[in-house]
Amino acid sequence: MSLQAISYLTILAAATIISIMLALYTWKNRQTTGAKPFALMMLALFVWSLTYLIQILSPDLASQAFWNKATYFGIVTTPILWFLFSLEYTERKDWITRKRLIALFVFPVITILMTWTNDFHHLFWSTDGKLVQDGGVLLRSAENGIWFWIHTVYSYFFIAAGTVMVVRALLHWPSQYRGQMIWILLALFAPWMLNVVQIFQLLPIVIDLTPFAFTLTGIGMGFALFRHRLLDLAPVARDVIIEGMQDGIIVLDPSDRIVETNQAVQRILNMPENQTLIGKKFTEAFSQWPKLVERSEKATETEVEIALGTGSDQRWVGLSSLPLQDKRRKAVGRLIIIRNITLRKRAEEQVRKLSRAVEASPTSIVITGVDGDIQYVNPKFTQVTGYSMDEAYGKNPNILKTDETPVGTHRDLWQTISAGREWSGEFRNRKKNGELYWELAAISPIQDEDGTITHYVAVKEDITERKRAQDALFIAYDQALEASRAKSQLLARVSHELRTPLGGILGYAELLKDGALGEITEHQKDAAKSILQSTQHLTVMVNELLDEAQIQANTTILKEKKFSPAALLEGAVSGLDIMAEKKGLGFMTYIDPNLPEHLLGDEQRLRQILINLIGNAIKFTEKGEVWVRLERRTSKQWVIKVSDTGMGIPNEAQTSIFEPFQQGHNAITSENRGIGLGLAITKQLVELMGGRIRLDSQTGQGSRFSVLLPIKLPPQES
Amino acid sequence: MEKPLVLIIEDDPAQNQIFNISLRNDFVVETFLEGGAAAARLEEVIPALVLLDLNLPGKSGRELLVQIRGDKRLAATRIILTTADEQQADMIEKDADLVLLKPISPGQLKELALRMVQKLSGEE
Repeated sequence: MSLQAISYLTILAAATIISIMLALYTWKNRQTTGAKPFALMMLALFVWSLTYLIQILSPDLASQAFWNKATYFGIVTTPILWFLFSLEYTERKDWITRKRLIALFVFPVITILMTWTNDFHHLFWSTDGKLVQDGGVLLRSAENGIWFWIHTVYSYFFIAAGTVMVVRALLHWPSQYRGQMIWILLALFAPWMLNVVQIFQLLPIVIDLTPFAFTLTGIGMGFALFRHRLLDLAPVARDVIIEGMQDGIIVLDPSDRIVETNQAVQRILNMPENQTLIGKKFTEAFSQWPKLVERSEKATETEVEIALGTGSDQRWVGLSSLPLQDKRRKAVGRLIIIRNITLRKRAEEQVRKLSRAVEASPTSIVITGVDGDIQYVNPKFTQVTGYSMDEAYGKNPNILKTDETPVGTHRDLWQTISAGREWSGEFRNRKKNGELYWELAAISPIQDEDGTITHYVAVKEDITERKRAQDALFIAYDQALEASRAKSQLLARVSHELRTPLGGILGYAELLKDGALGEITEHQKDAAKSILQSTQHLTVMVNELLDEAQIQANTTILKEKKFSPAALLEGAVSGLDIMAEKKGLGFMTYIDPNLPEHLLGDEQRLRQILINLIGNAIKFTEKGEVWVRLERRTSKQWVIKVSDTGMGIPNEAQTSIFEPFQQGHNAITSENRGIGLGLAITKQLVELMGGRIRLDSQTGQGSRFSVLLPIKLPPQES
Repeated sequence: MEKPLVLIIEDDPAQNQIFNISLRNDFVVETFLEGGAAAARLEEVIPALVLLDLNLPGKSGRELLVQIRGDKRLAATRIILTTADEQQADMIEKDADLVLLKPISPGQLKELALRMVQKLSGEE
């Protein structure tokens, strides 16, 4: 074998090995855009090179013919795959549809069938061919038929189309890659140059080195694809950037069809994510949001904010629509960017609401910087102080300060708020017109996310009037207290002054009546009795008046002590039972054995209550009986019940009976005299003890007074 | 049996007389219209009972009360306070054996006075 033959074989073998290696390597990285057709093209080249190599090594015509036909598997597919790769590489992938793909391969398939059936029609090779020895290589040579030339034109058309597309794309590379670009361009044109060389027989090459030339192209593109990573980086970066964007992107072609979009669009508009938008008409894909479509349909550059939906579902979208133009200012489509600005809009709305509240606030609001200089005052501040926003801006709130604010107030204020806490207190401040006023202020720091104080906000109220009213109230209160004391003193005095002469009248009348001052006639005795009765009545009146006055003046003090309910009852009824007996009434008492033996309470006042109720019962009962019961009602309550069989109290009088100076009966007889304070005092005393009084009565059916009192136990004696 | 001694210290003559008449059958009665003389007398005798008015010229009822309660000699002496002033009575109630608010019934006074003294002799 000649040296020339060996070099041909070496070249082909190299092409075979390189192409399969490139095919495998590219297939491994097939996720890269354009890598799949590229890998398939390298595989086709590998088939082409390998079958060609086997053909050359075959010694006889029959096997040479077989392998020659086999080379066409690679030959016919390489240009189509190159064309497909070029489409993907130049971002024209969308052109590739199923139908077109099938159409592209129809012709190559026919060509392959032609080669294998050539013996029947001789359309591909017009002769059967013969083995020719040239340059040390034995090779099958046959005259090309008509279909061969059709196939050649078809193949070169696609090779040319692919090359034009790739070259145009490469020319857009940044200038710093120009050096590498030249090599890649040379590799691209290798098949063309080789063909020129072979057609014009510029070099004495006997075999077809086209597969090798394509392998060079493959190396060039492989370099671009993987070594330099230019081809995969840009699309990957593009994907990452577009998909990773928070903003939604929609690219429309001149006919408003969507050619590019990202997931953010669906996320922002809350559309189902698996819905394909690419290829659809913009107006149809987004028909759900007529506002969005309408506002982005302008041909000029627009920037708008639109609200989509209503209520809690409402979403705010910022929309930018940019017309896309090529270098000749020809419209090639539109870029629409949508941003979710709902949160910002809500925050803005919140700020608007709060601002309105601050503006309309009936209290003064001042916001200062950390240095204390005023940055904002609300209208109320201006109204109170007379300083307008412009006048106050940049000044220190000290413009209001006077010496009349207690010393240390301002120091305490600054210590508190600069430590991050809220301070509240009062200032004596001066208005712009010199007038002094009192101010109640709550001042607190505003902190950023790191806890650094950025501002101070003061909420202040003019409390001059309030202070004045408060002072007036204090004076009025003092006066009222003084008046009350004077009234109590007067009462005590009146009481004292009345009691002393009453003592004389009562004492002498009783002594007279009992004959202690000498024998008197019956007639005189009756007179003495009358004096005695009147005096007793007067005494009761004095007592009642004093009690009532004391209760009204809130000066009644209960003297709670340990007492025995049994002893209380015994003490209270002594004398009254005799009264009942004299009237011919039955008089019965009962003590519940469950009632504690000792209770805590004001025994004297309780006796007063009992005497009053029993006295009334006897007084207003003509026949029948009077019952007095002391019972334990619950674990927390005991009750004094006084019932009679008297005339009863009509419903309409049952509430007024407890009012001072009221009596249940219009007829005032000698038997029921009184000034009507007894029940009023009783009720007030009961309430003072934390209890209440209840009356059950019907006209003609008697009455029952129940005094319900809390059970208070005396402290355990140790 | 010897009648017990009672000192009636009361500045109102009418009241003083009424108390005197009420008690003279059962007690040896000494009456005083002002505090000073009563105080001096209390240094000399040991009365079973003192009927003491609070508002007195000379030494006040309160001073006399302190004097009696501070005198070990008079430890057994019973005191009935008589007063027309309820609130005043409330304040010193605990130092007296009994407080009677005027007007006072002579019959009641006699009964109470006897009961207190009898109780006293009963204890002895």
